[in-house]
Amino acid sequence: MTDLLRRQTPWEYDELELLAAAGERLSGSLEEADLLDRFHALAVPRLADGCRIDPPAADAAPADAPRSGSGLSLPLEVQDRRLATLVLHRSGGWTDREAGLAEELARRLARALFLARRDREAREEIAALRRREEELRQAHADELKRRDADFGRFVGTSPLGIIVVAARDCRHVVVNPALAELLRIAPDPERPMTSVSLEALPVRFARDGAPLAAAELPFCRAAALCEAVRNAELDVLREDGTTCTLFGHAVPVLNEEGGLKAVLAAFVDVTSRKQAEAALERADRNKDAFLAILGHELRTPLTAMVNALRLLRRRRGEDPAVRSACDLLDRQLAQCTRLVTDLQDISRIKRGRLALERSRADLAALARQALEVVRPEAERGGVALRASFPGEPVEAEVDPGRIEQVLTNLLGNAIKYTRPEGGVCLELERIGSEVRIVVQDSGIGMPPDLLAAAFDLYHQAEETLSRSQGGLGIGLALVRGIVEMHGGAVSVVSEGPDRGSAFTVTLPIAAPAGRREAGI
Amino acid sequence: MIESALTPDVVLLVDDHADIRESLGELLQEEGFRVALAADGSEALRYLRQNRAPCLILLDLMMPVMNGYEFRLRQREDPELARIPVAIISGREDAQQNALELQAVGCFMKPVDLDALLGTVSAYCPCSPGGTPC
Repeated sequence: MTDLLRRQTPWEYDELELLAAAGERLSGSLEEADLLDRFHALAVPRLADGCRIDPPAADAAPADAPRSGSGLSLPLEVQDRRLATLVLHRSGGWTDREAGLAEELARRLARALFLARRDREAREEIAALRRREEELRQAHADELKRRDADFGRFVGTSPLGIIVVAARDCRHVVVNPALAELLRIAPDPERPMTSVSLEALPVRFARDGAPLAAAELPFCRAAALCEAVRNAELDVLREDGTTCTLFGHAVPVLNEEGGLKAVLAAFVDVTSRKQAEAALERADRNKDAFLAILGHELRTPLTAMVNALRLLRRRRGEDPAVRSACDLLDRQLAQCTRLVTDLQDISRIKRGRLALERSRADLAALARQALEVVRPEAERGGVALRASFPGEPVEAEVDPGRIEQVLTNLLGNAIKYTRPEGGVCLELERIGSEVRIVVQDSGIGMPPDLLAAAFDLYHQAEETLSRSQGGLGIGLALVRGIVEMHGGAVSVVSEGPDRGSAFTVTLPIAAPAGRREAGI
Repeated sequence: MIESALTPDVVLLVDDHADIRESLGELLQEEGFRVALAADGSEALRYLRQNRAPCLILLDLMMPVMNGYEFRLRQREDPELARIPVAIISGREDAQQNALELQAVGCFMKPVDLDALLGTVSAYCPCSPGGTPC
């Protein structure tokens, strides 16, 4: 309407008709070429003999371009943007009225061209965005492919045997060359990773000699449970009859939604380590069996000597020199017998052949007996013995012989490592459902680094000193073994060399159910 | 009674080690018991079949030719011999358990506690001079 109002003279009917037709025709397309065709069809020959569109000149004149004879040059402008120049020809020249109408039509054409151009530009912009998006998508895909290739290279060259399970059912697995070699799968020269169905693997799996079903394999369990299976050991039985042992972990890899994407399992070949362990265990068992035989064999000469000594005492015992020699032999034979007994006992505990004979016993009475056993030794060593007991009996379900052995061992040990004029004190008290027995001495003590190993088999406080005192280094290991078989615990504290030691035994009052093994 | 006073009870000692056999045999004799010696199970069986039943058999377990277990088995199979009491003397770590299985009247771990052994012998052989008076 504003355009219409710009003119002074009102439009004729046919002019309005042309303008209306132009409005209708030009709004029906967004293609520039089509718009020009449509404009041409409207304007020629109704208004002009010919028309053309020139591209906008850089130095184009502003609106109201001159009329020159038959030509009429009209700038096509919208929002100060010069789109093109419309040039119309009319052989009879232009009246003001005609020129005004042409100008009005040019305005409509300019608007239509502007919209078409905006539309084209918008479409071009969208296309450019699409292209950019596609480029980014491609770059992302390339990156993923590169990462996949990197991952393949890493896994492919990993010295760890790697197995990937892609689905919960664990029917297919992908193995890297290191694992393929362990399983004796021929490598695929085309690809670093070998994809194979679990059933087609040329091996059988077992653990501790028992065959393993697919569902029991650590990586299949990890896939089925969607949780990590760690420290798994797996025996591999190959087609050629050889075997190896693998050790490793299987962990689930989750996708973005938290579901199972895959299971990644890594294994190392521990065959030689297992063989070394087995050899060590065999050697240890042989040693224990040897100790048992040694103990038995030593008992025969000990028996003959003890018997002969008794005969000697009977026949020549009245001679003081013979009696004194017999006393010495008695003591030494008793010591030999104790060592042999300790050896046999530790060997039995280690082989699980020692059974406790439990009964209800007064621990205070057992402690008093143990004190009497070691009293002669303490007196000879000039070591004072003290004890403290509760007023009433302290009963517990124990093997009385074995507990007396524990206390005799601890007291004997304390006396052995205490110098003359020192003291050894035994304290016994009931605390809740436990009995606590402390054997404290004022002896040579222990440096902190040796405390932790005090109860280890064959461990001795100090090589030279203990050698001078005798002993096999099994007394405390035996103490721990017997106490642990009772469901109790032993510990030792020492403030350091020459500051004494305190050994503490705690025993449950009631026999624990199913505790037999001792950890030596 | 009269007969037993004339022929006192015998302790049969079965052990393959001569030194043990002899030293323990001498000790028992010095304590007043009559002692018969056998070096293995088959010797012991031979002795039993040819002599009057001893009051007690002191039996080692580990012996060549016939060990203590086999001897005890054969002895218990023979109704004439089955009732003679047996005490085990052994250096085996599981001697106590073996003694239970073999239904022995006692078990002495080597080296034998002689006072305890003499106590058992005199309990089963009361009619020996070394035994409690009968």
